[in-house]
Amino acid sequence: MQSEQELISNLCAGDENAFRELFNLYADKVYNTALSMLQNQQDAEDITQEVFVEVYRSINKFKGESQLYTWIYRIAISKCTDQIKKQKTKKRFSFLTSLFGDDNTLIHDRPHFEHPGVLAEKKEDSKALFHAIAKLPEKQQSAYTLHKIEQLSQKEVAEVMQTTPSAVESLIGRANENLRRLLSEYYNNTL
Amino acid sequence: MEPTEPHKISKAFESIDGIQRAEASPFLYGKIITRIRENIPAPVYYTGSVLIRFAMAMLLVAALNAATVGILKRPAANDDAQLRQLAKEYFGNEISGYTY
Repeated sequence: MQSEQELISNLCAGDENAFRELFNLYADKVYNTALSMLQNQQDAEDITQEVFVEVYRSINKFKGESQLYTWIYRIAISKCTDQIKKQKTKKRFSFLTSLFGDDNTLIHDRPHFEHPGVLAEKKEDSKALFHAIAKLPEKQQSAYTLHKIEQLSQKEVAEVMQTTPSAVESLIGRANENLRRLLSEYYNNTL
Repeated sequence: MEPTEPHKISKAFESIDGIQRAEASPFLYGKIITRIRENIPAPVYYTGSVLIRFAMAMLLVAALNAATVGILKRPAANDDAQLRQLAKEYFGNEISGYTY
């Protein structure tokens, strides 16, 4: 296995073996992050592809100021948030066009997401949690996903999000408060 | 006994304790390499129908603007001629153009 510096040098030289090694190291991390944020397997695969294509194309721009994995996570988070924004815009647009009565159907909320890594006996509870996570503001959602699902430390999350660990702590605190409120609403509406 | 709401909320929070990482498809690497080799651009999320609708909306805005400009220009000359005609009929001769 190559050191990170060797890996980066070989990637810059266009070595496909180095790219394969990079993919083996980070594919599941990127895919899991995308899946937790987008809550759809096809979208998560598309975003994972985009992340690795971007890494391949812009590895020469990587200055080594942060660790390679934080840079890759940063690209993944940025692409996921862009995708979420596009989905929201598309949903709003479909609502507007549906008002004019043509064949544009309204895009409804997706069915509740089941993360494949959740234990079978916890699946039902996790559906409610993921439903609430999807409703969090962008930064809280990113911080919560990276810390609680991807299990990065608050310091690592801060490096990915280019902020301070105390800011991450605050984001996660607010995410917890919002999740508690959203879950309360969810259980009141569904039961 | 039905669990209470705070209990359900705690269970929801605990549901991701010990979560396993989801694994990417084994075909993903091949897809990425194909995309890099073929230099395929990122997928475009706007569909053709959206672009056509946008173009039609822009054409409609342009047409309405042109029509508005046309309407605003045309009556100015007519109004002037009509006023002169009215003044002539009222005063019996051509007025000098002074405003009284």
